[in-house]
Amino acid sequence: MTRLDYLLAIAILAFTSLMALLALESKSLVYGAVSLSGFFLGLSLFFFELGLLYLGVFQLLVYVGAVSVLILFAVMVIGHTPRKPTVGRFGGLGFLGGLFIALAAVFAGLAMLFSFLDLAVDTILQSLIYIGPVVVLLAFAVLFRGEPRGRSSYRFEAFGVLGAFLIFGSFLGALSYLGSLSVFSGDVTFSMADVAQSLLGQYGLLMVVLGLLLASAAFGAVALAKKEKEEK
Amino acid sequence: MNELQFFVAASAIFFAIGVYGLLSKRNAVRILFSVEIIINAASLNIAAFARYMPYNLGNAQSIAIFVIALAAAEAAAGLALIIEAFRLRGSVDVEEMDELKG
Repeated sequence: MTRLDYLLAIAILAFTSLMALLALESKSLVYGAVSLSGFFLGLSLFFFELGLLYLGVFQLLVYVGAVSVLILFAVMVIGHTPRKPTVGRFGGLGFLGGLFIALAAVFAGLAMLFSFLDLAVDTILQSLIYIGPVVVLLAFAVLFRGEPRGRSSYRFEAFGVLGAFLIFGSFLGALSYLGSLSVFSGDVTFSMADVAQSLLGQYGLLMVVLGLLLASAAFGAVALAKKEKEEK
Repeated sequence: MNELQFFVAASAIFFAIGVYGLLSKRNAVRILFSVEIIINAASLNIAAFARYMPYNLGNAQSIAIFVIALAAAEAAAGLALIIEAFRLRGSVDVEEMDELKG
């Protein structure tokens, strides 16, 4: 990867993580669903950046196309539930929190850029450098949220941030190990025939099982969604 | 820092965001969003290892495609369940779904 590629990848990372956070934190579920499709789009850009064109196109078709529309329709059916404010709602100072999250994504990107320019010393330290701002500012976002302080929303948020911390911390060891590996960074060449061969050859049975699973999921979804109408 | 680390770190970030949502949200739809984010992080991880440690790139992409298809099935079934729960109780707050509580 050239330095320009890195810049592009960092930009995609910032965009994608911002979209993921917006999907969880945006005010209305519809915006959340749209942000989630932005996240799927960012992920397909990652696949293109990796050079895995087929996977990127598949991701675009299935996620950005089908799953996003499905989620949007479901959100529309559920609609707005104004009875009780949900946890993920911006308002007043909470908006500031959202801004912090956006800034955190930018800072994370910058810190990562610095680490690529070989200014940082240790892999774990590097990882902490670029995840640190995100987690700290996420905690800020939680603290500054303009939410009514009732019930257990803060406890849940604290659990969430702590969980995210722990999960990422558990990844740090693996990340530092990967730093010691020599990876194949040349251009990869693959043909559609490779994918087709493995899909229909080695994984042929799995493909059939997956088809059955998808069909049963579709039937199950229809049966679940139709039930109420029949009872009327 | 090598290139594989970058993509694995990216997928770890997405995974952590997903876990954050999974633990902190009470709206069932948001929880489904979190699960989707986590599954996508996993498929990015698979793709990154496939790209930088190519043993058989076709196989690796097939596995990522299986992950995507499974996630699509999960989304369809999960959304249907959420819609059904919404019809039954007029809310998608998972804290209120406590009928099975002993």
